[in-house]
Amino acid sequence: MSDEVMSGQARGDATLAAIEQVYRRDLERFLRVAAALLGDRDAARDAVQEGFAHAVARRDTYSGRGPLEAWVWRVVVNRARNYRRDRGAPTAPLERELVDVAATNGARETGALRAALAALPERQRLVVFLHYFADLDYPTIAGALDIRQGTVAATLNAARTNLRRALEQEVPQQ
Amino acid sequence: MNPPLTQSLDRLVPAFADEPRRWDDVLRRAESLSGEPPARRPAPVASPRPGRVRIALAFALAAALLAVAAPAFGLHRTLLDFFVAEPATERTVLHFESLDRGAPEGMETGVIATETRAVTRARFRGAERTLWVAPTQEGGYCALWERHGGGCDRLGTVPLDVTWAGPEVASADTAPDSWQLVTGHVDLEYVATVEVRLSDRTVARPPIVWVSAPIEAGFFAYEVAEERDATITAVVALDSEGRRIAESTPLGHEPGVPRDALVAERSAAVLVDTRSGEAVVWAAPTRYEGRCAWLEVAGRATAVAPCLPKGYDRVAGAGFRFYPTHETVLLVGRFGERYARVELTFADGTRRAYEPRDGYLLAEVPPEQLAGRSAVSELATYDAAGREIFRVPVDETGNRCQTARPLPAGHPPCP
Repeated sequence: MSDEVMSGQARGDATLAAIEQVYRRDLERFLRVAAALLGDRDAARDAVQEGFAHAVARRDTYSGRGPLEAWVWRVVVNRARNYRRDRGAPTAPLERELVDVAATNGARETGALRAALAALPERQRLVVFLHYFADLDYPTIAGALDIRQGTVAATLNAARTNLRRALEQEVPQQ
Repeated sequence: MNPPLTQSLDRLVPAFADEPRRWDDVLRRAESLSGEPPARRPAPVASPRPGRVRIALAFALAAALLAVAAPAFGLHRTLLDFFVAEPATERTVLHFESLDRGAPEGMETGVIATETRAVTRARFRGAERTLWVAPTQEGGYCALWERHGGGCDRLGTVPLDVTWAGPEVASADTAPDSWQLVTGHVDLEYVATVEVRLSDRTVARPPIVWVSAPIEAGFFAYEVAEERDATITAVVALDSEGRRIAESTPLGHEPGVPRDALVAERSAAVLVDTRSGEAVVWAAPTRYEGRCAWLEVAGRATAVAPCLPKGYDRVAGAGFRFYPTHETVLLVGRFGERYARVELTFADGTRRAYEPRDGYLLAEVPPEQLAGRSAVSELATYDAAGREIFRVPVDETGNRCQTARPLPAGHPPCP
Protein backbone atom coordinates (compact mmCIF):
# COMPACT_ATOMS: atom_id res chain seq x y z
CA MET A 1 0.00 0.00 0.00
CA SER A 2 1.32 3.39 -0.89
CA ASP A 3 1.44 6.40 1.38
CA GLU A 4 0.88 8.61 -1.62
CA VAL A 5 -2.59 10.02 -1.63
CA MET A 6 -3.27 11.43 -5.02
CA SER A 7 -1.55 11.84 -8.30
CA GLY A 8 -2.40 13.73 -11.43
CA GLN A 9 -1.87 16.98 -9.59
CA ALA A 10 1.02 19.36 -9.45
CA ARG A 11 2.47 18.99 -5.98
CA GLY A 12 4.00 22.45 -6.07
CA ASP A 13 0.79 24.35 -6.64
CA ALA A 14 -0.14 26.52 -3.72
CA THR A 15 -3.76 26.30 -4.62
CA LEU A 16 -6.60 27.34 -2.46
CA ALA A 17 -7.83 23.78 -2.26
CA ALA A 18 -4.41 22.47 -1.30
CA ILE A 19 -4.00 25.05 1.46
CA GLU A 20 -7.48 24.25 2.68
CA GLN A 21 -6.55 20.59 2.76
CA VAL A 22 -3.51 21.32 4.92
CA TYR A 23 -5.71 23.41 7.19
CA ARG A 24 -8.38 20.79 7.59
CA ARG A 25 -5.92 17.98 8.07
CA ASP A 26 -3.44 19.59 10.43
CA LEU A 27 -5.20 22.39 12.26
CA GLU A 28 -4.55 20.92 15.70
CA ARG A 29 -0.82 20.69 14.99
CA PHE A 30 -0.64 24.31 13.89
CA LEU A 31 -2.57 25.35 16.96
CA ARG A 32 -0.21 23.50 19.25
CA VAL A 33 2.88 25.12 17.82
CA ALA A 34 1.20 28.54 17.92
CA ALA A 35 0.18 27.94 21.53
CA ALA A 36 3.78 27.07 22.36
CA LEU A 37 4.96 30.27 20.72
CA LEU A 38 2.31 32.53 22.22
CA GLY A 39 1.61 30.86 25.55
CA ASP A 40 -2.09 31.44 25.03
CA ARG A 41 -4.47 29.01 23.42
CA ASP A 42 -7.04 31.58 22.33
CA ALA A 43 -4.35 33.77 20.84
CA ALA A 44 -3.05 30.66 19.10
CA ARG A 45 -6.43 30.06 17.51
CA ASP A 46 -6.58 33.61 16.24
CA ALA A 47 -2.98 33.55 15.05
CA VAL A 48 -3.45 30.33 13.10
CA GLN A 49 -6.57 31.67 11.41
CA GLU A 50 -4.62 34.75 10.48
CA GLY A 51 -1.65 32.72 9.36
CA PHE A 52 -3.74 30.69 6.99
CA ALA A 53 -5.41 33.85 5.73
CA HIS A 54 -1.96 35.18 4.86
CA ALA A 55 -1.10 31.91 3.14
CA VAL A 56 -4.26 32.16 1.07
CA ALA A 57 -3.76 35.81 0.23
CA ARG A 58 -0.10 35.31 -0.67
CA ARG A 59 -0.27 31.90 -2.29
CA ASP A 60 0.91 33.39 -5.58
CA THR A 61 4.28 33.95 -3.94
CA TYR A 62 4.82 30.25 -3.32
CA SER A 63 7.64 29.33 -5.64
CA GLY A 64 6.91 25.64 -5.83
CA ARG A 65 10.31 24.87 -4.39
CA GLY A 66 9.82 22.39 -1.60
CA PRO A 67 6.60 20.99 -0.24
CA LEU A 68 3.62 23.29 0.00
CA GLU A 69 3.06 22.19 3.56
CA ALA A 70 6.45 23.50 4.60
CA TRP A 71 5.68 26.83 2.98
CA VAL A 72 2.35 27.03 4.82
CA TRP A 73 4.13 26.23 8.07
CA ARG A 74 6.60 29.02 7.43
CA VAL A 75 3.83 31.55 6.82
CA VAL A 76 1.79 30.48 9.84
CA VAL A 77 4.75 30.31 12.20
CA ASN A 78 5.84 33.76 11.10
CA ARG A 79 2.37 35.13 11.70
CA ALA A 80 2.38 33.58 15.17
CA ARG A 81 5.78 35.08 15.91
CA ASN A 82 4.58 38.51 14.85
CA TYR A 83 1.14 38.14 16.35
CA ARG A 84 1.54 40.41 19.37
CA ARG A 85 3.63 42.96 17.54
CA ASP A 86 0.95 43.31 14.85
CA ARG A 87 -1.64 44.02 17.49
CA GLY A 88 0.24 46.92 18.97
CA ALA A 89 1.03 45.02 22.12
CA PRO A 90 4.44 45.59 23.64
CA THR A 91 6.87 43.27 21.96
CA ALA A 92 7.73 40.58 24.45
CA PRO A 93 10.62 38.28 23.79
CA LEU A 94 9.63 34.67 23.52
CA GLU A 95 11.70 33.95 26.61
CA ARG A 96 9.52 36.34 28.58
CA GLU A 97 6.34 34.79 27.25
CA LEU A 98 7.34 31.32 28.24
CA VAL A 99 8.54 32.28 31.69
CA ASP A 100 5.41 34.31 32.37
CA VAL A 101 3.21 31.42 31.47
CA ALA A 102 5.30 29.11 33.61
CA ALA A 103 4.84 31.40 36.57
CA THR A 104 1.09 31.35 36.25
CA ASN A 105 1.07 27.64 35.80
CA GLY A 106 2.83 27.03 39.06
CA ALA A 107 3.97 23.52 38.27
CA ARG A 108 7.63 23.26 39.17
CA GLU A 109 8.60 20.62 36.70
CA THR A 110 6.72 22.21 33.85
CA GLY A 111 7.99 25.59 34.86
CA ALA A 112 11.54 24.32 34.71
CA LEU A 113 10.96 23.00 31.22
CA ARG A 114 9.45 26.28 30.13
CA ALA A 115 12.41 28.14 31.48
CA ALA A 116 14.75 25.74 29.73
CA LEU A 117 12.92 26.22 26.45
CA ALA A 118 12.89 29.95 26.91
CA ALA A 119 16.62 29.89 27.34
CA LEU A 120 17.16 28.18 24.00
CA PRO A 121 18.17 30.20 20.95
CA GLU A 122 15.05 30.90 18.90
CA ARG A 123 15.93 28.57 16.07
CA GLN A 124 16.47 25.68 18.47
CA ARG A 125 13.19 26.40 20.15
CA LEU A 126 11.31 26.50 16.84
CA VAL A 127 12.85 23.23 15.74
CA VAL A 128 11.81 21.63 19.03
CA PHE A 129 8.28 22.95 18.67
CA LEU A 130 7.91 21.84 15.08
CA HIS A 131 9.42 18.44 15.77
CA TYR A 132 7.64 17.56 19.00
CA PHE A 133 4.43 19.52 18.90
CA ALA A 134 3.73 19.29 15.17
CA ASP A 135 5.43 15.95 14.53
CA LEU A 136 7.00 17.33 11.38
CA ASP A 137 9.77 15.47 9.64
CA TYR A 138 13.15 17.00 8.93
CA PRO A 139 12.47 18.06 5.31
CA THR A 140 9.30 19.91 6.33
CA ILE A 141 11.00 21.61 9.25
CA ALA A 142 13.81 22.59 6.91
CA GLY A 143 11.31 24.07 4.48
CA ALA A 144 9.38 25.84 7.22
CA LEU A 145 12.46 27.51 8.67
CA ASP A 146 14.31 27.84 5.37
CA ILE A 147 17.33 25.91 6.57
CA ARG A 148 19.05 22.77 5.35
CA GLN A 149 17.95 19.34 6.55
CA GLY A 150 21.36 18.73 8.06
CA THR A 151 20.97 21.93 10.00
CA VAL A 152 17.66 20.68 11.37
CA ALA A 153 19.28 17.56 12.76
CA ALA A 154 22.18 19.49 14.24
CA THR A 155 19.90 22.14 15.71
CA LEU A 156 17.60 19.57 17.24
CA ASN A 157 20.52 17.72 18.74
CA ALA A 158 21.89 20.93 20.22
CA ALA A 159 18.47 21.80 21.60
CA ARG A 160 18.16 18.42 23.28
CA THR A 161 21.58 18.78 24.83
CA ASN A 162 20.80 22.27 26.10
CA LEU A 163 17.46 21.19 27.48
CA ARG A 164 18.97 18.22 29.25
CA ARG A 165 21.68 20.33 30.82
CA ALA A 166 19.22 23.01 31.89
CA LEU A 167 16.84 20.51 33.42
CA GLU A 168 19.59 18.65 35.23
CA GLN A 169 20.61 21.94 36.85
CA GLU A 170 17.03 22.88 37.63
CA VAL A 171 15.80 19.51 38.87
CA PRO A 172 18.60 17.74 40.74
CA GLN A 173 18.60 13.99 40.66
CA GLN A 174 17.10 12.45 43.80
CA MET B 1 14.30 12.57 24.05
CA ASN B 2 13.57 10.62 27.19
CA PRO B 3 9.92 9.82 27.87
CA PRO B 4 9.54 12.04 30.97
CA LEU B 5 10.69 15.06 28.97
CA THR B 6 8.26 14.22 26.18
CA GLN B 7 5.52 13.92 28.74
CA SER B 8 6.54 17.23 30.23
CA LEU B 9 6.26 18.79 26.79
CA ASP B 10 2.77 17.35 26.51
CA ARG B 11 1.85 18.93 29.84
CA LEU B 12 3.50 22.17 28.82
CA VAL B 13 1.38 22.57 25.72
CA PRO B 14 -1.52 20.11 25.76
CA ALA B 15 -2.65 18.93 22.37
CA PHE B 16 -5.71 20.48 20.80
CA ALA B 17 -8.51 18.09 19.94
CA ASP B 18 -11.47 18.30 17.58
CA GLU B 19 -11.11 21.99 16.91
CA PRO B 20 -13.80 23.37 14.59
CA ARG B 21 -12.54 24.06 11.09
CA ARG B 22 -13.37 27.69 10.39
CA TRP B 23 -12.21 27.85 6.81
CA ASP B 24 -14.78 30.47 5.90
CA ASP B 25 -13.21 32.71 8.51
CA VAL B 26 -9.81 32.14 6.91
CA LEU B 27 -11.22 33.15 3.53
CA ARG B 28 -12.85 36.27 4.95
CA ARG B 29 -9.58 37.33 6.53
CA ALA B 30 -7.72 36.60 3.32
CA GLU B 31 -10.15 38.72 1.38
CA SER B 32 -9.60 41.64 3.70
CA LEU B 33 -5.85 41.23 3.21
CA SER B 34 -5.92 41.06 -0.56
CA GLY B 35 -9.17 42.83 -1.35
CA GLU B 36 -10.07 39.98 -3.64
CA PRO B 37 -12.30 36.98 -2.91
CA PRO B 38 -9.99 33.96 -2.94
CA ALA B 39 -12.44 31.90 -4.96
CA ARG B 40 -12.01 34.17 -8.01
CA ARG B 41 -8.47 33.01 -8.41
CA PRO B 42 -7.71 30.00 -10.54
CA ALA B 43 -7.72 26.90 -8.40
CA PRO B 44 -6.20 23.79 -9.94
CA VAL B 45 -6.83 20.38 -8.49
CA ALA B 46 -5.91 19.93 -4.85
CA SER B 47 -2.56 18.39 -4.02
CA PRO B 48 -2.44 16.69 -0.65
CA ARG B 49 0.96 15.67 0.61
CA PRO B 50 1.65 12.17 1.80
CA GLY B 51 1.47 12.09 5.56
CA ARG B 52 3.62 10.03 7.85
CA VAL B 53 0.69 8.86 9.89
CA ARG B 54 -2.06 8.65 7.32
CA ILE B 55 -2.24 5.78 4.91
CA ALA B 56 -4.48 6.37 1.98
CA LEU B 57 -5.01 5.22 -1.51
CA ALA B 58 -3.32 6.30 -4.66
CA PHE B 59 -5.89 8.05 -6.75
CA ALA B 60 -5.09 8.61 -10.37
CA LEU B 61 -7.30 11.26 -11.78
CA ALA B 62 -8.28 10.78 -15.35
CA ALA B 63 -6.06 13.00 -17.44
CA ALA B 64 -8.92 14.33 -19.46
CA LEU B 65 -10.70 15.73 -16.45
CA LEU B 66 -10.86 19.46 -16.26
CA ALA B 67 -10.60 21.15 -12.91
CA VAL B 68 -13.01 23.99 -12.32
CA ALA B 69 -13.37 26.29 -9.37
CA ALA B 70 -16.60 25.84 -7.51
CA PRO B 71 -17.51 28.72 -5.24
CA ALA B 72 -21.01 27.33 -4.87
CA PHE B 73 -22.13 26.44 -1.36
CA GLY B 74 -19.34 28.60 0.04
CA LEU B 75 -16.98 25.66 0.28
CA HIS B 76 -14.47 26.85 -2.31
CA ARG B 77 -13.33 23.45 -3.38
CA THR B 78 -12.14 22.17 -6.69
CA LEU B 79 -14.43 20.09 -8.83
CA LEU B 80 -13.82 17.78 -11.71
CA ASP B 81 -15.99 18.62 -14.67
CA PHE B 82 -18.14 15.56 -15.19
CA PHE B 83 -18.96 16.31 -18.80
CA VAL B 84 -15.38 16.24 -20.00
CA ALA B 85 -14.62 12.99 -18.20
CA GLU B 86 -13.86 9.86 -20.15
CA PRO B 87 -17.08 8.19 -21.39
CA ALA B 88 -17.70 4.64 -20.27
CA THR B 89 -17.12 1.58 -22.38
CA GLU B 90 -20.13 -0.09 -23.93
CA ARG B 91 -19.84 -2.95 -21.49
CA THR B 92 -19.99 -0.57 -18.54
CA VAL B 93 -22.98 1.25 -20.03
CA LEU B 94 -24.77 -2.07 -20.37
CA HIS B 95 -23.99 -2.85 -16.76
CA PHE B 96 -25.51 0.44 -15.58
CA GLU B 97 -28.53 -0.14 -17.81
CA SER B 98 -29.11 -3.43 -16.07
CA LEU B 99 -29.57 -1.74 -12.71
CA ASP B 100 -33.21 -0.96 -13.38
CA ARG B 101 -34.01 -4.17 -15.20
CA GLY B 102 -36.62 -6.04 -13.19
CA ALA B 103 -36.64 -3.46 -10.40
CA PRO B 104 -39.94 -3.32 -8.47
CA GLU B 105 -42.21 -0.38 -9.17
CA GLY B 106 -41.01 2.66 -7.31
CA MET B 107 -37.60 1.16 -6.68
CA GLU B 108 -35.97 2.06 -9.99
CA THR B 109 -32.79 4.13 -9.81
CA GLY B 110 -33.59 6.11 -12.95
CA VAL B 111 -29.94 5.86 -13.96
CA ILE B 112 -28.98 7.47 -17.29
CA ALA B 113 -26.55 4.77 -18.32
CA THR B 114 -25.47 6.41 -21.58
CA GLU B 115 -23.92 9.23 -19.55
CA THR B 116 -21.67 6.95 -17.52
CA ARG B 117 -18.16 8.33 -17.17
CA ALA B 118 -14.86 7.47 -15.52
CA VAL B 119 -14.41 9.86 -12.65
CA THR B 120 -11.16 8.64 -11.13
CA ARG B 121 -8.95 5.64 -10.64
CA ALA B 122 -7.58 4.27 -7.41
CA ARG B 123 -5.41 1.41 -6.42
CA PHE B 124 -6.71 -0.92 -3.76
CA ARG B 125 -6.69 -4.65 -3.19
CA GLY B 126 -3.66 -4.88 -5.39
CA ALA B 127 -5.20 -3.48 -8.55
CA GLU B 128 -6.00 -0.18 -10.14
CA ARG B 129 -9.74 0.31 -10.37
CA THR B 130 -11.87 2.80 -12.21
CA LEU B 131 -14.75 4.58 -10.56
CA TRP B 132 -17.66 4.80 -12.98
CA VAL B 133 -20.41 7.31 -12.26
CA ALA B 134 -23.71 7.96 -14.04
CA PRO B 135 -26.40 10.56 -13.27
CA THR B 136 -29.99 9.65 -12.53
CA GLN B 137 -33.16 11.27 -13.83
CA GLU B 138 -33.99 12.76 -10.45
CA GLY B 139 -30.72 14.55 -9.80
CA GLY B 140 -28.80 11.76 -8.19
CA TYR B 141 -26.18 9.32 -9.39
CA CYS B 142 -25.02 5.75 -9.38
CA ALA B 143 -21.39 4.90 -8.74
CA LEU B 144 -19.50 1.69 -9.31
CA TRP B 145 -15.91 0.83 -8.51
CA GLU B 146 -14.59 -1.55 -11.13
CA ARG B 147 -14.57 -5.13 -9.82
CA HIS B 148 -15.57 -4.00 -6.36
CA GLY B 149 -19.02 -2.48 -5.86
CA GLY B 150 -21.00 0.67 -5.43
CA GLY B 151 -24.47 2.05 -5.07
CA CYS B 152 -26.98 4.66 -6.09
CA ASP B 153 -28.21 7.87 -4.54
CA ARG B 154 -31.30 8.29 -6.67
CA LEU B 155 -32.12 11.81 -5.46
CA GLY B 156 -28.58 13.04 -4.89
CA THR B 157 -29.16 13.95 -1.24
CA VAL B 158 -27.54 11.12 0.70
CA PRO B 159 -24.90 12.80 2.88
CA LEU B 160 -22.68 9.75 3.28
CA ASP B 161 -22.82 6.29 1.82
CA VAL B 162 -20.16 3.72 2.61
CA THR B 163 -19.43 0.26 1.27
CA TRP B 164 -17.58 -1.81 3.86
CA ALA B 165 -15.28 -4.66 2.96
CA GLY B 166 -13.32 -7.11 5.02
CA PRO B 167 -9.99 -8.66 4.11
CA GLU B 168 -9.69 -9.85 0.54
CA VAL B 169 -8.99 -13.39 1.66
CA ALA B 170 -10.89 -14.18 4.82
CA SER B 171 -10.28 -17.31 6.84
CA ALA B 172 -11.97 -19.06 9.70
CA ASP B 173 -9.70 -17.10 12.00
CA THR B 174 -10.66 -13.76 10.52
CA ALA B 175 -12.41 -11.60 13.08
CA PRO B 176 -15.93 -10.63 12.05
CA ASP B 177 -15.16 -6.97 12.52
CA SER B 178 -11.92 -6.88 10.55
CA TRP B 179 -13.02 -4.17 8.14
CA GLN B 180 -10.08 -3.23 5.98
CA LEU B 181 -11.50 -1.21 3.12
CA VAL B 182 -14.16 1.45 2.73
CA THR B 183 -15.34 3.12 -0.45
CA GLY B 184 -18.07 5.67 -0.57
CA HIS B 185 -19.48 8.98 -1.60
CA VAL B 186 -20.56 12.17 0.14
CA ASP B 187 -22.89 14.98 -0.84
CA LEU B 188 -21.22 18.12 -2.08
CA GLU B 189 -23.72 20.41 -0.42
CA TYR B 190 -23.41 19.14 3.13
CA VAL B 191 -20.01 17.54 3.47
CA ALA B 192 -16.51 18.98 3.31
CA THR B 193 -14.30 16.21 4.68
CA VAL B 194 -14.38 12.55 5.59
CA GLU B 195 -12.70 10.94 8.57
CA VAL B 196 -11.94 7.24 8.69
CA ARG B 197 -11.63 6.10 12.29
CA LEU B 198 -9.48 3.12 13.12
CA SER B 199 -9.35 0.65 15.97
CA ASP B 200 -5.96 1.98 17.08
CA ARG B 201 -7.65 5.34 17.74
CA THR B 202 -6.00 7.05 14.80
CA VAL B 203 -7.98 8.99 12.24
CA ALA B 204 -7.30 9.07 8.52
CA ARG B 205 -8.66 11.67 6.16
CA PRO B 206 -8.78 10.15 2.69
CA PRO B 207 -8.65 12.47 -0.30
CA ILE B 208 -11.99 13.13 -1.91
CA VAL B 209 -12.54 13.47 -5.64
CA TRP B 210 -15.27 16.09 -6.01
CA VAL B 211 -17.34 15.90 -9.17
CA SER B 212 -19.33 18.73 -10.73
CA ALA B 213 -23.00 18.86 -11.71
CA PRO B 214 -25.02 16.85 -12.41
CA ILE B 215 -23.28 14.59 -9.92
CA GLU B 216 -22.32 17.11 -7.23
CA ALA B 217 -20.74 14.58 -4.94
CA GLY B 218 -17.36 13.51 -3.65
CA PHE B 219 -15.89 10.03 -3.84
CA PHE B 220 -13.31 8.39 -1.64
CA ALA B 221 -11.65 5.08 -0.91
CA TYR B 222 -9.46 4.03 1.97
CA GLU B 223 -7.68 0.77 2.65
CA VAL B 224 -5.75 -0.10 5.78
CA ALA B 225 -2.19 -1.05 4.99
CA GLU B 226 -1.55 -4.76 5.29
CA GLU B 227 1.29 -4.28 7.72
CA ARG B 228 -0.86 -2.23 10.02
CA ASP B 229 -2.61 -3.89 12.94
CA ALA B 230 -5.82 -1.87 12.79
CA THR B 231 -9.32 -2.10 11.43
CA ILE B 232 -11.81 0.52 10.37
CA THR B 233 -14.48 1.24 12.96
CA ALA B 234 -16.37 4.23 11.54
CA VAL B 235 -16.51 6.71 8.70
CA VAL B 236 -17.61 10.22 9.63
CA ALA B 237 -18.62 13.02 7.28
CA LEU B 238 -17.95 16.57 8.49
CA ASP B 239 -19.10 19.92 7.18
CA SER B 240 -16.90 22.93 6.47
CA GLU B 241 -17.14 23.94 10.13
CA GLY B 242 -15.95 20.55 11.28
CA ARG B 243 -19.36 19.54 12.55
CA ARG B 244 -20.38 15.94 12.30
CA ILE B 245 -22.95 15.49 9.55
CA ALA B 246 -23.36 11.75 9.27
CA GLU B 247 -21.62 8.58 10.35
CA SER B 248 -21.40 5.08 8.99
CA THR B 249 -20.52 2.02 11.02
CA PRO B 250 -20.28 -1.59 9.84
CA LEU B 251 -23.42 -2.54 11.74
CA GLY B 252 -25.55 0.14 10.13
CA HIS B 253 -27.51 2.03 12.75
CA GLU B 254 -26.72 1.49 16.37
CA PRO B 255 -29.15 1.12 19.25
CA GLY B 256 -30.40 4.27 20.87
CA VAL B 257 -31.07 7.72 19.53
CA PRO B 258 -29.72 8.02 15.96
CA ARG B 259 -26.49 9.95 15.95
CA ASP B 260 -27.50 12.07 12.98
CA ALA B 261 -30.54 13.45 14.79
CA LEU B 262 -30.53 17.04 16.05
CA VAL B 263 -32.15 15.97 19.29
CA ALA B 264 -32.77 19.49 20.57
CA GLU B 265 -35.13 20.03 17.63
CA ARG B 266 -37.12 16.83 18.08
CA SER B 267 -40.88 16.65 18.11
CA ALA B 268 -43.26 13.86 19.04
CA ALA B 269 -44.57 12.23 15.87
CA VAL B 270 -46.74 9.63 17.62
CA LEU B 271 -47.50 9.17 21.29
CA VAL B 272 -49.28 6.13 22.73
CA ASP B 273 -50.08 5.12 26.31
CA THR B 274 -49.12 1.49 26.69
CA ARG B 275 -48.88 -1.07 29.45
CA SER B 276 -45.18 -0.17 29.66
CA GLY B 277 -46.00 3.49 30.09
CA GLU B 278 -45.97 6.28 27.55
CA ALA B 279 -44.34 5.34 24.24
CA VAL B 280 -43.24 8.06 21.84
CA VAL B 281 -41.88 8.10 18.33
CA TRP B 282 -39.67 11.16 18.19
CA ALA B 283 -38.74 12.75 14.87
CA ALA B 284 -35.84 15.14 14.50
CA PRO B 285 -34.15 16.89 11.60
CA THR B 286 -30.55 16.32 10.57
CA ARG B 287 -27.83 18.65 9.35
CA TYR B 288 -28.43 17.32 5.84
CA GLU B 289 -32.11 18.30 5.72
CA GLY B 290 -33.11 14.73 6.43
CA ARG B 291 -35.14 13.19 9.21
CA CYS B 292 -34.47 10.63 11.90
CA ALA B 293 -36.93 8.88 14.17
CA TRP B 294 -36.63 6.77 17.27
CA LEU B 295 -38.87 5.09 19.80
CA GLU B 296 -38.68 5.85 23.49
CA VAL B 297 -40.47 3.58 25.90
CA ALA B 298 -39.80 2.32 29.41
CA GLY B 299 -36.74 4.54 29.65
CA ARG B 300 -35.04 3.18 26.55
CA ALA B 301 -34.54 4.53 23.04
CA THR B 302 -34.29 2.54 19.84
CA ALA B 303 -34.07 3.65 16.24
CA VAL B 304 -37.22 3.17 14.21
CA ALA B 305 -35.37 2.96 10.90
CA PRO B 306 -32.27 4.48 9.31
CA CYS B 307 -32.44 8.27 9.01
CA LEU B 308 -33.86 9.49 5.71
CA PRO B 309 -31.99 12.01 3.54
CA LYS B 310 -33.80 14.96 2.03
CA GLY B 311 -36.59 13.95 -0.35
CA TYR B 312 -36.45 10.26 0.45
CA ASP B 313 -39.68 10.47 2.46
CA ARG B 314 -41.42 10.51 -0.89
CA VAL B 315 -39.79 7.40 -2.28
CA ALA B 316 -39.12 5.49 0.93
CA GLY B 317 -40.42 1.99 1.36
CA ALA B 318 -41.53 0.52 4.64
CA GLY B 319 -39.46 -0.42 7.65
CA PHE B 320 -40.98 -1.79 10.81
CA ARG B 321 -40.33 -4.00 13.80
CA PHE B 322 -42.09 -5.43 16.78
CA TYR B 323 -40.62 -4.13 20.01
CA PRO B 324 -41.44 -6.35 22.98
CA THR B 325 -41.20 -5.21 26.57
CA HIS B 326 -41.93 -7.29 29.65
CA GLU B 327 -45.52 -6.07 29.70
CA THR B 328 -46.54 -5.65 26.08
CA VAL B 329 -45.55 -5.56 22.38
CA LEU B 330 -45.33 -2.46 20.23
CA LEU B 331 -45.45 -2.27 16.46
CA VAL B 332 -43.27 0.62 15.33
CA GLY B 333 -42.18 1.60 11.86
CA ARG B 334 -41.74 4.15 9.14
CA PHE B 335 -43.85 3.90 6.04
CA GLY B 336 -43.44 5.86 2.79
CA GLU B 337 -46.15 8.09 1.40
CA ARG B 338 -47.80 5.34 -0.59
CA TYR B 339 -48.61 3.32 2.52
CA ALA B 340 -52.04 4.32 3.81
CA ARG B 341 -52.89 1.36 6.02
CA VAL B 342 -51.12 -1.42 7.90
CA GLU B 343 -53.06 -4.46 8.95
CA LEU B 344 -52.15 -7.15 11.46
CA THR B 345 -53.69 -10.58 11.35
CA PHE B 346 -53.60 -12.54 14.58
CA ALA B 347 -53.39 -16.26 15.08
CA ASP B 348 -57.05 -16.47 16.00
CA GLY B 349 -57.94 -14.94 12.64
CA THR B 350 -58.94 -11.51 13.87
CA ARG B 351 -57.52 -8.45 12.17
CA ARG B 352 -56.74 -4.93 13.24
CA ALA B 353 -55.82 -1.98 11.00
CA TYR B 354 -53.58 1.00 11.77
CA GLU B 355 -52.80 4.19 9.83
CA PRO B 356 -49.32 5.68 9.73
CA ARG B 357 -49.16 9.27 10.88
CA ASP B 358 -46.69 11.57 9.15
CA GLY B 359 -44.97 8.46 7.88
CA TYR B 360 -44.68 6.79 11.28
CA LEU B 361 -46.67 4.07 12.97
CA LEU B 362 -46.71 3.22 16.65
CA ALA B 363 -49.30 0.84 18.03
CA GLU B 364 -49.65 -1.53 20.94
CA VAL B 365 -50.66 -5.06 20.09
CA PRO B 366 -53.99 -5.63 21.86
CA PRO B 367 -53.38 -7.30 25.23
CA GLU B 368 -55.97 -9.97 24.54
CA GLN B 369 -53.91 -11.12 21.55
CA LEU B 370 -50.86 -11.60 23.72
CA ALA B 371 -52.45 -14.09 26.06
CA GLY B 372 -52.08 -17.81 25.64
CA ARG B 373 -50.95 -19.05 22.24
CA SER B 374 -52.52 -16.27 20.29
CA ALA B 375 -50.07 -14.01 18.49
CA VAL B 376 -49.52 -11.97 15.35
CA SER B 377 -49.28 -14.13 12.26
CA GLU B 378 -49.17 -11.68 9.37
CA LEU B 379 -48.65 -8.02 8.45
CA ALA B 380 -50.08 -6.49 5.28
CA THR B 381 -49.90 -2.98 3.85
CA TYR B 382 -52.29 -1.13 1.53
CA ASP B 383 -52.28 2.07 -0.47
CA ALA B 384 -54.95 4.77 -0.32
CA ALA B 385 -57.06 2.95 -2.93
CA GLY B 386 -57.05 -0.20 -0.82
CA ARG B 387 -54.63 -2.06 -3.05
CA GLU B 388 -52.32 -4.41 -1.24
CA ILE B 389 -48.68 -3.37 -1.43
CA PHE B 390 -47.11 -6.28 0.40
CA ARG B 391 -47.96 -9.01 2.89
CA VAL B 392 -45.43 -10.80 5.10
CA PRO B 393 -45.70 -13.54 7.71
CA VAL B 394 -44.56 -12.59 11.20
CA ASP B 395 -41.90 -14.92 12.46
CA GLU B 396 -42.38 -15.98 16.06
CA THR B 397 -39.04 -17.68 16.33
CA GLY B 398 -35.50 -16.41 16.38
CA ASN B 399 -34.33 -13.25 18.13
CA ARG B 400 -36.64 -12.70 21.04
CA CYS B 401 -36.35 -8.94 20.66
CA GLN B 402 -37.84 -9.13 17.18
CA THR B 403 -40.87 -11.23 17.97
CA ALA B 404 -44.42 -10.15 18.82
CA ARG B 405 -44.45 -11.67 22.29
CA PRO B 406 -43.72 -9.95 25.60
CA LEU B 407 -40.34 -10.65 27.10
CA PRO B 408 -40.24 -13.35 29.76
CA ALA B 409 -39.28 -12.40 33.29
CA GLY B 410 -35.54 -12.09 33.62
CA HIS B 411 -34.95 -11.30 29.95
CA PRO B 412 -32.98 -8.07 29.59
CA PRO B 413 -34.76 -5.14 27.90
CA CYS B 414 -34.36 -5.06 24.15
CA PRO B 415 -31.91 -2.57 22.66
